[in-house]
Amino acid sequence: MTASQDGDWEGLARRWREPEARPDAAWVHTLVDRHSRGLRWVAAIEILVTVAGLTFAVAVILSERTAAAIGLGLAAILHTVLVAGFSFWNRHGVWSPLSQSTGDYLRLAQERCRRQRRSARFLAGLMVVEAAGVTAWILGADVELPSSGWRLGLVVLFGGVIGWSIGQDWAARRRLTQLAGIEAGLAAGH
Amino acid sequence: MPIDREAQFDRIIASEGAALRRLSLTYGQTPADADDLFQEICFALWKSLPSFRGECSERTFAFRIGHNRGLTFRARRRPPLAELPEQLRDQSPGPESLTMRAMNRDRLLAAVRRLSPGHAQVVMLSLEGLPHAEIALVLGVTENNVAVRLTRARKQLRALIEEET
Repeated sequence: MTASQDGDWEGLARRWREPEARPDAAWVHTLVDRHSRGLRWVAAIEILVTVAGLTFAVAVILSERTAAAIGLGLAAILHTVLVAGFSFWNRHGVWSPLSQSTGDYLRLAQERCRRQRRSARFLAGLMVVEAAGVTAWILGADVELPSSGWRLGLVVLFGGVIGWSIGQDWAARRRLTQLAGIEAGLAAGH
Repeated sequence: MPIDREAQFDRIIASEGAALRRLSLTYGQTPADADDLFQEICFALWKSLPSFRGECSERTFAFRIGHNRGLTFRARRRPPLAELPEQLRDQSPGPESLTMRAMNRDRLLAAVRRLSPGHAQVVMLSLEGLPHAEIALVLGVTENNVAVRLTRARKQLRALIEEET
């Protein structure tokens, strides 16, 4: 082997031992870890809200004992059970990555985005159905709302939740695109 | 003693972790694969430490485990090698030595991945700075065999680099 070839080999050896630069991978790890903490907090809050909602609905039914109160109370219980059940089911398997590898973190981050989209679509759909149901009930049963503020309140409530769900879906879709780009970069060895 | 084992493991990872990571990147075709393989190597190293009797250096021991795990991993995954040449393409012309020096780490890694397993092993270990005698110990072959393989592997590596420029 010539001196020039030895020099080449030494140059290659130096490049070989250069540190690996992977800012995207570090970002994915940070994202997933942060999201894991957020998930636990949200789940804890959801449990509290569910228990409070069910307790309130049962209390209203027991105290009022009118047809309207019983109907609204049962609807509230049904709504709470549906949302809580869906939420519980939708979080299955996304609490933590299978291993500490970047691949598993990336897969988990993508799966969480897909679940977020599913959750947003479910909530928007549920709100549309409930808004239609409430509108039909008000019109069909000729219910008199206590004031015009109630009408506005219902519109804000349903519209707000639907708008928020659409925003969540959009954010998750954007994040999925971002993660797909990182996945492609990692697969290409960059 | 568990504490000794832990200290020994930490010491090996501290000194050879980066090299084992590069080894993982070579056997695994993607960084995600490399992460998985690196974990497997660390686990195998941890399990094997009680059987380490000091017949060779810790570095030799770690590399031997790393290469064995790497070969198993590669056999299991069988990645699509046809995709790799696209990553190596470089439009800049130039003499061989300039090309060799201009290569960045990722492209060198991709070129080493394209070597046959036997040649990739000696190249990896040589690039890590192991002398022929230690490479022979890691791979369980003679020093002459290492010298012959390394000469051929370097030629192949050079040809691969030329082919892509």
